[in-house]
Formats: sequence, C-alpha cells, structure tokens
Amino acid sequence: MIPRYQRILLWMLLLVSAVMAVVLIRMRERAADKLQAAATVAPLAPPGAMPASSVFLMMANDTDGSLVNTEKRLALPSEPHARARYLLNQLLAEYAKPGSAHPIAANAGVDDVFLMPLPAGTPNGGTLAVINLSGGLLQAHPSGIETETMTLLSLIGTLHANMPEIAQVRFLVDGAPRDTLAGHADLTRTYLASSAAPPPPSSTELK
Amino acid sequence: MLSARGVSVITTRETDLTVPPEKRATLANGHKPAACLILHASDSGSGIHLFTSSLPPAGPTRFLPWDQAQAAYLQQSLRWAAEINTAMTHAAVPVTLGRTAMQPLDNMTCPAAAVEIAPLTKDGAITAALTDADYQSRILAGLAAAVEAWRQDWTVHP
Repeated sequence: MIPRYQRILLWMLLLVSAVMAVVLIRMRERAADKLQAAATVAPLAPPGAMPASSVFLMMANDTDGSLVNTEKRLALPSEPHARARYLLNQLLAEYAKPGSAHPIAANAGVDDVFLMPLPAGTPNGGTLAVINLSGGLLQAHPSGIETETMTLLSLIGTLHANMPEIAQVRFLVDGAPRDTLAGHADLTRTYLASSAAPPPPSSTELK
Repeated sequence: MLSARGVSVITTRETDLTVPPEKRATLANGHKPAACLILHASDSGSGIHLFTSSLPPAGPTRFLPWDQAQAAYLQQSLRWAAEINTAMTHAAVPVTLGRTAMQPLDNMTCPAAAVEIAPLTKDGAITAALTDADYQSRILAGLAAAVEAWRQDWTVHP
C-alpha cells in the first residue's frame, strides 16, 4: 500500500514535469521566432557612418552569356562576412530590377556568408566562403543550364573581385546541402574562385 | 534522322519522364559511345547554349572518381563541342559557348557536350520560339551534320 503523502508527491512531480515541458516548448518556439526574425530583418543597409567605396559586381547577361565587371560605389559593412553578404545581395537586387539582362525575381537572396581559412597545406592558401542561399531565391530562379551557371559564376566572381583572399566557394541552401540551383548547375562542388571569372564566352551571331 | 544515316543512337528517355542524372550517365557510360549529347530547352537567353564540363582536365586513369569522370575526356569533349559549334553556325543558329558544372555531364566517360536550346531573340523580342518548325529543323540539321562530321573525325582521330 502506497502512503497517501507519496501519492500526492508523485502527482505533484507529474504536474511540475508537465508544466516544465510546456514552458520549455514555449521557450523553444520563442527562441526560434527570435532567430527567424533576426535573419529576415537583419539590416542589409550598411552603417551610415561607413564611407562609400568602389566595388565590382560581375553582372551576368543571358543574351550573350557574358559576365561584365561593373563598378559601383557602395558603403560596405566593415566585418568581412557582413560585407560579403551585402555585396551578393546588392548583386541579386540588380537582377531583380525591371529590364535586367539576367532576370531573377527573388524576394530573398543570400542569408549568410561564412568565411573560414582553408586548411594548412592547401595550395596558395586563402579563405573558403560558404554562401548560404535562401530557399526563396531557388524558387524564384529560372531553370536552365546557362542562367543557373551565370548566376553561380556571377556570385563567385563578385566575391573574388572584391575579396581576393577568397580562394574557394561552396553553397548551402537554407543551411543544408542541395544538389542543384534550379535543376541544372551543380551546388555540391567546391568552386575555385579564381576560375569563376573566365574571359567572356565567345559567341557567334547571325550575320 | 541519324539512324537513317547509319548512326546508332541510344536515348535515355523517349517521353517526359524524370530520369535521375546518375542513371543517365550510367546508361551512357555502359555503351561506351563515340559521343554523348545532353539536350535541354530553356526560356532564358537566345539561340543555342553549348556547354562542356568546367572540370580541370585530367589524364586517363584506370579508376575515375564518379563526380570527375568527364575530366579524362575533356580534350575530346572540346573537339566534339567545336564540331557542334561549326555545324550550328552553318545552319545559321547563333551559339554561345560556355563551361559548366552539371550532372550528368561531369559523370560521363565519353566526349560529351550539353546543348541548351533557347528561343531566338533580337533586341529582347522573340523572333523564333522553341515551337517554331523552321527553327527546330535548322537545329536538327545542325546537330545531324555535327554528328556526321564527328563520326568521320572520330574514325581518323579517336
């Protein structure tokens, strides 16, 4: 026979456990909401105090398959990973403009850029950039070998043009590996940043 | 068209079925073909987009990593792409050349090129849609001529 006080104690412990479970679940939800809000409202605009400097955007053109180095003056964040993210989102914002030669109607672009030194012994050394694309960009991206390839080369080329220490680039989508950008261009490969800005592809036109 | 010219053709699909890239590459590699052609259609850009693998070239080895198998065939692939480029130019179809990282292209152990067909445009306006019969027949004629030229080239310089 279980004494009455032990039964009361058992029920109280069960009650406390249930309350703690509810509180923990709620706290987890609030933390997730806070993280999500931080990701979406993180300022894309740089601090106003930063002076504008010259940057290069490798602009893709679907009509002739070219990448054109376009100079702009932008006030960039001082922190390298924030600067990289800001640059790439500026590039994607150009593509979202009406009349773009490489249209991507994206409502979101690059969530994060992680920079880390390459392991010792890597030829030429340098930094590995991991670009975390948003799922929204992939949904908005047109499908096709050329357009997807141009987007990747444009992103990589823009990073390399402004941050030459970046030697290699990898891609994630919403924090996870993904096979392709929109069904064609490979997102699983490690790209050499220096090879992302080749001479513009030659083109033969109708005479 | 190619069969009538005595060319043995194996396709990875005849209908609009989804075949995973690795299955396409496996099928192609299993037949040890003289040339592999990946055909796509796209609304973006203009004319023919002709791609070869962007892998760095590598010498032939006994075992090839699956994701870099094309590296050992890159020189042949560039020659194959040059044949297609020439034939398309003769067929009055504009060609844009490029390199790409794409499956199954990177997994193929044969001279391989990817051809993406886009509408013809001029000043942003479409002058020949993908469904245009004349445009389609010019592309077909160009591809058939490229295969014919490659067959002769392949016989002399495999």
